[in-house]
Amino acid sequence: MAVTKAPGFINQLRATLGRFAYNASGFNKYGLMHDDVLFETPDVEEAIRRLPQKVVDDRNYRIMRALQYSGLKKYLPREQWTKYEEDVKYLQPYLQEVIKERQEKESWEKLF
Amino acid sequence: MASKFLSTQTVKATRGFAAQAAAKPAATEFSPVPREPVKTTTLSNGIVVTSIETNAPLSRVGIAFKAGSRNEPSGKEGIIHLLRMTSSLSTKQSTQFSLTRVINQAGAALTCTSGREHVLYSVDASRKQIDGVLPKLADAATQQVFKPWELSDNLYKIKLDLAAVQPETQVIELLHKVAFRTGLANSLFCPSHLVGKHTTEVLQSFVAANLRADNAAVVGVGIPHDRLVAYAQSLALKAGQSCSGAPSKVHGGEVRVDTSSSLAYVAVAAPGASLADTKAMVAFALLQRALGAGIPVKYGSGAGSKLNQAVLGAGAVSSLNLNYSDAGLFGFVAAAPASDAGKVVSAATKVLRSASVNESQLSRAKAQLKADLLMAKENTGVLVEELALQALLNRADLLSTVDNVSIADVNAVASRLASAKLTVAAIGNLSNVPFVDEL
Repeated sequence: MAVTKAPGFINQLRATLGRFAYNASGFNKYGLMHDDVLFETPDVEEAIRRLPQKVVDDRNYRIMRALQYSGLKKYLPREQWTKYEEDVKYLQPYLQEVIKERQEKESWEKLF
Repeated sequence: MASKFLSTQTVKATRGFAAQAAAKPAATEFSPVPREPVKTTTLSNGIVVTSIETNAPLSRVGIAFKAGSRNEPSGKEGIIHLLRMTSSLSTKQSTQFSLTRVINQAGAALTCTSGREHVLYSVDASRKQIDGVLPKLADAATQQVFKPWELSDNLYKIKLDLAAVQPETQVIELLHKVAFRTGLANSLFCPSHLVGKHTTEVLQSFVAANLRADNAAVVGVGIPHDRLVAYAQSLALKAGQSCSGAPSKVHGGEVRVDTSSSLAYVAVAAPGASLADTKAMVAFALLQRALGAGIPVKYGSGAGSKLNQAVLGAGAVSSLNLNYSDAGLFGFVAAAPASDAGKVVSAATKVLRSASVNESQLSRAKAQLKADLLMAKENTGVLVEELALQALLNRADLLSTVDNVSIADVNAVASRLASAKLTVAAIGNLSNVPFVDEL
């Protein structure tokens, strides 16, 4: 499929910068994913409450393993570091729904 | 906005309503704008649209499906109870919050009622506000989503419903269980061992299989017919196949549940009339009135009721007449203090076995039945449910046939009771309640 050069370049740049930022953050060295380390605002807490049990179990395992390694001041072996391509933003759908519900409620409260 | 539960059809009369095809009533000083006759349209996808334009300020619209507790798959009973509970929760288009607030803002009420063979979502509002809430009714009835966290957050409502069940309701549920065994035996309430066990997938597959266009009816009272037809055409319902369940059969037998109570509640029934047999249905309805369906005068002695006369004030007895599409039950429900329960049940059973009517009792029963049928038309909530049941289950119009019933017809059905196999359900302090083979 012939594509123009410009979108290909932008996407590649995006991926490269994204991967650089992801690896520079360092949480992947403890085997964590992006959504494991999200700052827990009330919205995020409600989204976590709505996760299915299997996802919650996996999340808890990763967090506990990361705490353990952090206490030992060790990183995981390099093969077990979470890769940028393997990262799954599992919380985003639930989080967006929670935020939408909160905004709907606030817009109602403004009127009445 | 309430999630009303339970249409127990306890002493639910075999009601219909007049087609009023005859001359429209003239306007009088008491009813300046008379009701219009009922109008029915069947859409191409199978939805039956029925409406009565009452010319009154209140509108009530319902979406009903021919799917009740008898359609629940085995091992997953209680889905209908969950449907009632989740009628107020999030749908594909609305969140729980917006559903609640829009309906509140309109001063309306959204209700989900269900029976053994139907489930009805209805909304009532003033005529000016009904257009604003009809989209929400469509959401609640056809766009259910059953989010897992909402199910678990609202489970306490199921537990509250179960804790609030009265013994007189419970005895009728037990009667169905022992009489029908499957299908109609399924209770309107979730069995306690299945509370919390219904998943989103189970509920969604039940709704997809059972809440379809070909078994749906859209009914309206106080709304123009064309408006209702347009609304029904806008509903997103898929057509599907109805899988016919096994035909119902009434079995004899008994079930006894001992509880710590000072009273005993006993329901005794024999096979009754199904909705398919209009003649028998009317005859049983008249026999029910003749035997005594409750006491019409508050704090009265029930002198006109054969059952109450027989028990001589030792307890309260009311005749029971239930009609389903392929089976029916006819009998009585008795409540008495534990020590008198045996006397009461034996005396009432004797009346049931030897039931018959003479001319004056029959004319009184006819007057009572006609009054009950007409009274039903006064309440828009009951009227909407009656319209839905007539559309879905082909329930006949009884008002026109009451006068044609002869004394021989009624005594013919009454004589069936003399030799019928009895089904008994009892709950409470049963130390003196006889067993079914002793009756």
